[in-house]
Amino acid sequence: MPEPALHEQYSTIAQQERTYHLGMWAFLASEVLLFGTLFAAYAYYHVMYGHDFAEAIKDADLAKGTIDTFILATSTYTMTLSVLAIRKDNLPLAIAFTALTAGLALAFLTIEGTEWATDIAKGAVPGASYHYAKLPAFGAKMYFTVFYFLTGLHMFHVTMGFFLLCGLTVRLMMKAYSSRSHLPLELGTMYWHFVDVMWFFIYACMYLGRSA
Amino acid sequence: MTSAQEAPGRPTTEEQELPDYLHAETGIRSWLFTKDHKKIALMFYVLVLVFFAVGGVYALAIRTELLTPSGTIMTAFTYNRAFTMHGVIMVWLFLIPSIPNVFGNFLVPLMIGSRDLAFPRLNLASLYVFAAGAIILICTMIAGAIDTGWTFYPPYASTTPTRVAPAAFGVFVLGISSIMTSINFIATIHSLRAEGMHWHRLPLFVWGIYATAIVLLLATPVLGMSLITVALDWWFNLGMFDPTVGGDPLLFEHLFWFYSHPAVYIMILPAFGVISEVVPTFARREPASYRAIAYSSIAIAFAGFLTWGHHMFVAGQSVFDSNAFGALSMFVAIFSAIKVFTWVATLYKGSIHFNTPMLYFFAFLFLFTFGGMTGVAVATEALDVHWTDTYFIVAHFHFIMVGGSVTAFLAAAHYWFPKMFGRMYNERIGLLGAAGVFGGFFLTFFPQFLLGNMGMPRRYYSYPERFQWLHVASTIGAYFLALGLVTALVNLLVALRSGKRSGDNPWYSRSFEWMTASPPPQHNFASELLIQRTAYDYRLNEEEAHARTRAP
Repeated sequence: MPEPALHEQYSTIAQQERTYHLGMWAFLASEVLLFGTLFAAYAYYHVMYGHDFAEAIKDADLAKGTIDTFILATSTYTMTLSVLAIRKDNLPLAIAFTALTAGLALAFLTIEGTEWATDIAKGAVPGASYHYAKLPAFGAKMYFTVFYFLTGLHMFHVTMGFFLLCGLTVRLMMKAYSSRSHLPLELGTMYWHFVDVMWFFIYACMYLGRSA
Repeated sequence: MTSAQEAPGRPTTEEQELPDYLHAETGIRSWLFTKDHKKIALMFYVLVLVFFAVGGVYALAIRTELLTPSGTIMTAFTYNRAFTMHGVIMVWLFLIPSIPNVFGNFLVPLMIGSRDLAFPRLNLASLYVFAAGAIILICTMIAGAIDTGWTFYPPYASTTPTRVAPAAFGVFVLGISSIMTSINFIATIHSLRAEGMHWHRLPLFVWGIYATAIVLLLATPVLGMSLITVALDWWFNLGMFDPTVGGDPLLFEHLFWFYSHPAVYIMILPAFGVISEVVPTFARREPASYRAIAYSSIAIAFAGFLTWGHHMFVAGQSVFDSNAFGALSMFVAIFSAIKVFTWVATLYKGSIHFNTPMLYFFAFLFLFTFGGMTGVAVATEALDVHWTDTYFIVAHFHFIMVGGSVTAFLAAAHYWFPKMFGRMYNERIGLLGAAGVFGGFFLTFFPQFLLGNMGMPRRYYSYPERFQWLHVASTIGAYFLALGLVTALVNLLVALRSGKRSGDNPWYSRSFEWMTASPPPQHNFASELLIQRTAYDYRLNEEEAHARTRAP
């Protein structure tokens, strides 16, 4: 049964784990500002272009966006269940839930990918090559520019999260964690929750803000 | 002048029996794979000094070019690249990392009584990430550099033929290093303080580093995204700031300055921390108001996020915005003024010793106050309309960044030299270096206030003849400044090899980093600490000071 290792600058395990948690919160705070930059760009152009921007929001695939939201919300729940399982030393369940979360991440990426493909196919590409005839205005162009950037940044984080989840699954299968020592699982779950919460805001901004 | 002789009855610290951190493990692997915050600090020291020199060479190139009203030693295109690289290197490869990554890394664990930072491997990683960012920028430099100014404004930055994307990416990578550093400092200061080290017993340098870390953590990501966006605009025509597809270049300015104004507080808050250590030590007095200095650091960290629009008074933002940002910019100056008054008040009834660090403090006091007051002046929108994009602005920020941050860096370099290396530098050469830096600096940049007020625009390669005499004066000053800096550097390098042994506490300071051996052993303190005094209790003699640091 793995026990946590005490690093030399700490006096107790509790202090060490608290500090790692604090470090993770600090990292997530910086990530909020990272996404915040793009949300600021979103707000700027939404206000600037009003109606034209809102028309582009109405054009977004609400069904896919909503499915994505359910997938991520479920995945955040399964990750929580994984942590609850390891706290009771239930390794098989923890492995199952972590792997399931990774699978849901992959599903999310696939659906987002198809949405990107559809948008590109209909000509809504960023920059000068934009040729989506249905929505020719500047407001629509800037909507799509922000859309690709914001969802692209988020997909990058989901991808990183996917690799992290795979790594955690492997470590669980190697029996590296126990109820007394599973800090990486907790920290990884915090990151995954963050990725999910970011998606809620992206969903609200890019799919739901429909009245100008 | 304080001599390095031992005071009678000076306690022998237990750490003196242990090998110091430089000799505990030797060989190149003990440096490249170290987890010791002190060794990491020294590696950062070498890197930032190298980049300071490179940025300085660009400065001398610029000033030499400006000796004559038109072409002197380079084309206009090269000139644009020279001032761009000067800015990029000085800001991101020197000013931002210098005090935090060198002195913060070395001293924070010692000052809080801990064996290392919270995440030593993250610390080492931050060094390698910094080096990676630096390599990317060096490669971009060799491949022709960029000519956009360090501010990367679109639409020029999206359309210039120079290599914006690699340069922006290099700065992005440096930003990642900054964020790693800030996470480490925040976690360390919250969690690893020794027994008895309440927040209000922390040395003020630690408060300064903590405030800096908050700004680093929250502002740097915005820079990262802004630069990635402009890089994608340049590379793939993303169009985020391209007016032909509906983008707005002004948005870039908002996002960029949202980071870059707090960035200047990243550059000055650690400097304030250094000064807050130097003044009590060399006045042998506790600070006139500990809380004024501590809390004003936190206030600056937050209020600094509210002022970015003062870089955009004539950029096309609304009059309301300009008024609001102007007022808020004056507001944030109050906290710096609080510090300046507190440091001066600390001298009252103190026992002042004019060692080199203290000389740099006096230079700082004059130059930073001068620069700060011109800051309030340019925050006045009605006045800035005349001064914006002229040499007045250039002079203002150099008074703060060189007269403030670099001077404080030099104060730190001399003050903590015995701490880091156990040796003492030559005080007479130290005085010479300080005088050269102060005099050279003033001759370089004071004429620039006059130039700016007379209408000389910044970043201009050629100028009307009537400005030439001021440019020549400024260039002579620049060479003197370079000479002063080289003098200071050589003094310290020589002392590394052959300086007299300093003893553990040559300045008779009460701050906690001086309560262990100089240089410290690998794990900082040999026994448990129990802090039962403030960091500035000069009523106690050295024995009592040591006794109230250790656990019984």
